[in-house]
Amino acid sequence: MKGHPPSDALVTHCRREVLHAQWDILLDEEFLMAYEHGIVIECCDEITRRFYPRPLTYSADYKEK
Amino acid sequence: MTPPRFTDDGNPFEPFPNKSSFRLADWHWNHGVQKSCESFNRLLDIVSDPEFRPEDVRQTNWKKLNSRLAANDFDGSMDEEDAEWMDEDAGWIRTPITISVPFHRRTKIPGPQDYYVGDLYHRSFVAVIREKLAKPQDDRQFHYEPFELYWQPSNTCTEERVHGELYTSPAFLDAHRELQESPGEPGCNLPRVVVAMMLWSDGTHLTTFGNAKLWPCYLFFGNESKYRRCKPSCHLCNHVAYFQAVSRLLNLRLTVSDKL
Repeated sequence: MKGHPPSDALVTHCRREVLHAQWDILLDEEFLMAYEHGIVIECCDEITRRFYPRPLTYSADYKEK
Repeated sequence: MTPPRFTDDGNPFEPFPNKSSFRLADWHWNHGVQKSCESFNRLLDIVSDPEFRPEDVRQTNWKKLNSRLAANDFDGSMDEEDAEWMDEDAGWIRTPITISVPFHRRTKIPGPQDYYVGDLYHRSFVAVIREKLAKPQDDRQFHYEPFELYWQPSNTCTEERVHGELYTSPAFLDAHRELQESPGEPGCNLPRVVVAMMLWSDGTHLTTFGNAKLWPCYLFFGNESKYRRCKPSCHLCNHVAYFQAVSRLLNLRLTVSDKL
């Protein structure tokens, strides 16, 4: 194998970028529209409501290795 | 199960060839895995219906139909890795993950370069929320509005605020209040409701030996009680994504390309 292994700083950078890139995919245009303008759903009680998703908690680990 | 869509030839039961086949498949898939007396009666209803035609069902290719029902958006480019996703409910999406990696000035091509890291398997948050609110079995215990909970042991004591559920928490109350005070959509008088998303992820080793790992992301709804959320039998946990970690492959590629 040629070359040096990547520096710790570079690996840290990549780990952060990979996680952020995935959250960027999850929080897509459809979600941002719903966040801002709500989504209209007719509920099981036959009342139509406008729902606004709000992430209130995020309990997560972060891959160090 | 509702007939998904009309096709050009006007068959409203697509992908099923006819109504009889559709009703049988609906009975098979949508009314519980364990067949009860009730579901047996439902089956009797189907086959005793004057519209039911045994000859329609005899010709149906069930194996082919069942694999079409399980189809995902990324079908068509299916390889071995995808095959296991076929067993999941429809609605999983595969999106490639690309990041920008900077290379220092002594490398052959210095500056930032885009790297493909792998694929993210995920579901649409909005689709999961829609699916959630369409479940009649969860509706009655889904809190559309937060409230403050107090405890007063006796008439002589002062009331004491009780904390314990997200739908009685200041965070939910604040989000609700802020939403009610916001201008809202023009011309819309519908009640406005906060969907309290509780995201959770924890990497997990699948085996004692080897390094099979998963890094799942789950979604719970804080509009539901923690006492129900923690019961697996209530099925209140939604899988929404499987994260990719920086792989050894990327480490290796960075090592090699360092001296390109």
